[in-house]
Amino acid sequence: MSVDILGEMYERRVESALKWLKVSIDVNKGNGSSAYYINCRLPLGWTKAYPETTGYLIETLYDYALSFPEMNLSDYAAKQADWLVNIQLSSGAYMGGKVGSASKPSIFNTGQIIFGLIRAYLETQSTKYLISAENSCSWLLRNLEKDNSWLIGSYIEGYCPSYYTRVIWAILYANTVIKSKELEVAMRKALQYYFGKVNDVYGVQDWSFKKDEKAFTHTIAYTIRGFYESSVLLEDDDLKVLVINMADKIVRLREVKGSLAGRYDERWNGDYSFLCLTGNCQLSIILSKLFLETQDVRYFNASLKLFEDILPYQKMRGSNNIRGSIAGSSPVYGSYMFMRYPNWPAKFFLDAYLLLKTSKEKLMPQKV
Amino acid sequence: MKLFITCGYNNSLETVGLIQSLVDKKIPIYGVLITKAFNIARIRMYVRQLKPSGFYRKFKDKIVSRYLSVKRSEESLILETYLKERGMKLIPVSSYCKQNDIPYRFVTSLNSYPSREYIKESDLVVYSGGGLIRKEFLKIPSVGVLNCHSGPLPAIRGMNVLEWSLLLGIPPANTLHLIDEGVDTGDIIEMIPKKYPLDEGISHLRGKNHIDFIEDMTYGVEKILAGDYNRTPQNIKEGKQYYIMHPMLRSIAESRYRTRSYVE
Repeated sequence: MSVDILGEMYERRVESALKWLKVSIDVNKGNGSSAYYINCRLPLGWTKAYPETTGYLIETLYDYALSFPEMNLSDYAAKQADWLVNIQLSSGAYMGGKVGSASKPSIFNTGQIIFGLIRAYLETQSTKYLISAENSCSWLLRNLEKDNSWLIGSYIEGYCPSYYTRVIWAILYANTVIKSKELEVAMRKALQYYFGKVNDVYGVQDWSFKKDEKAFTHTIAYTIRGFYESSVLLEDDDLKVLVINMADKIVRLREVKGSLAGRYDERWNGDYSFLCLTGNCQLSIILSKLFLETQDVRYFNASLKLFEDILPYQKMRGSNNIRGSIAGSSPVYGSYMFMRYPNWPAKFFLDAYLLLKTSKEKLMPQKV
Repeated sequence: MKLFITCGYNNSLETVGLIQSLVDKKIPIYGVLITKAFNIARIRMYVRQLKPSGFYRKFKDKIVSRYLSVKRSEESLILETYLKERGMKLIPVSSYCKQNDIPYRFVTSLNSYPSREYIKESDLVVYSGGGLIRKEFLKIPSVGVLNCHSGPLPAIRGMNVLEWSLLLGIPPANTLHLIDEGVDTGDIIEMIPKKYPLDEGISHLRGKNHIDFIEDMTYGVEKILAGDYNRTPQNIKEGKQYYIMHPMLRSIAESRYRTRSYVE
């Protein structure tokens, strides 16, 4: 473990990750970020653009725009938002999968794209992004089932995963601008559906990609983040307590076992054969946010460790196609995103880094 | 009253210092339970918690340095100086016991059957390392197992508690308490506040804390033997359990302590 985890040496890592994300966009001529890179010869290599993660990537690009003005990150972000507006279906939904793939409108992907659209609106005040986001929210609202689940547009037919809490958060985030009482009431009810899936050990039923499978920490973090951000936006203390209990579980697992598993079942029985690198970054984000909110330094401590656990696996050498990237799993042949370097571990790595910096500043001695 | 001592590993200078301190006070010791350091489960646990580099540093500082001339931490040097000033040789616990006719026994775990058999007639066990103790062991001594926790209880339970006190701005203290099944949740005998120099780093303070451990534990044993103590149950809701501190936080703790710029 390093004292200087957020020092100059690590700024280089951040810069490399940003440059790599720019390459993931450049290979599509600026129209979306490729889902992942496969470190092999053609016809592998970069895949087609992936609307879902391009959507939430926009926020990260804006977050770093001021720190790296020479990279033109705001321009990149706005261009991605324009592209997303252009590929939106007339219903307001977005297709699942990579662009051009035979797919169907997707609940989850539509939700994730809302983050980018709203952020682009907040940055530029251009109403086209807001209208696009409103249409997406309306489509999501129209497709809510009577029990407040979403059944159409799922990754697995008829399966409503619990990480849809992140869709609820996206709608509530949009609603900070839209300000619709109807949306808020509907999302409060929808949250209850997932709240009811939490078990006695603070695991969540159906938090995995497929029913009855162990969940990667990636989707576990999606689920918890959805609960957490919703609790903040709705000022819901019950949800906050739930998130704290889940976070305590994760802190304990990391401390006792020395690292997290790559995936867990609903009772936290882990598969320690690999690390889900993006999951670590995402959980680090949640713990840093909890630290900033509660001032409980134990969350910052664990957040630092989760982040540091993945640092050795960021590629710092090689061509522009690989330098700065982070694989899905460690080892790279692990169960999550086998042999692939997706754009979202880099995104969440960058988000985690920013929060750790903020947390550190909060804790540094103040001049008296 | 029959008193036994546990020992985390045979090269523990802290335990040698404690035994010497009790001997100086003419307190009879009925036996010392020395945990074997080279135990796969134990090494695996340390590597998991400290990571290989952290484990290597600790191993070099606490064990290799006894046999080879390697650079030791300030923490170890302070304890060594303290012991040398008292005319003590820096020898393993077993050698010290042999020289002073104190019975001892090596065990793989404090919770093992041989270990429990060894202390079956004990009244007080003084804890000087050896890992977590389970119920079967705890229920044997009639008075209990005395621990000197290097932080204030019930506020800070767990690991690296001196560092956590400094980071959180809670005045450092050692707490004498009787171990129960929880982590640092047993009845408190006494909390002893500490005043450490502001111009020193954490490694120095940890070294000082080893000396305090020896002196405070001796004081606690004397009190218990004299029957001059009360047990105060803890309200664990008044505190939190802490884990190993990340080195970056440790360095922040140090600067916060030096500047005393605690956030109230």
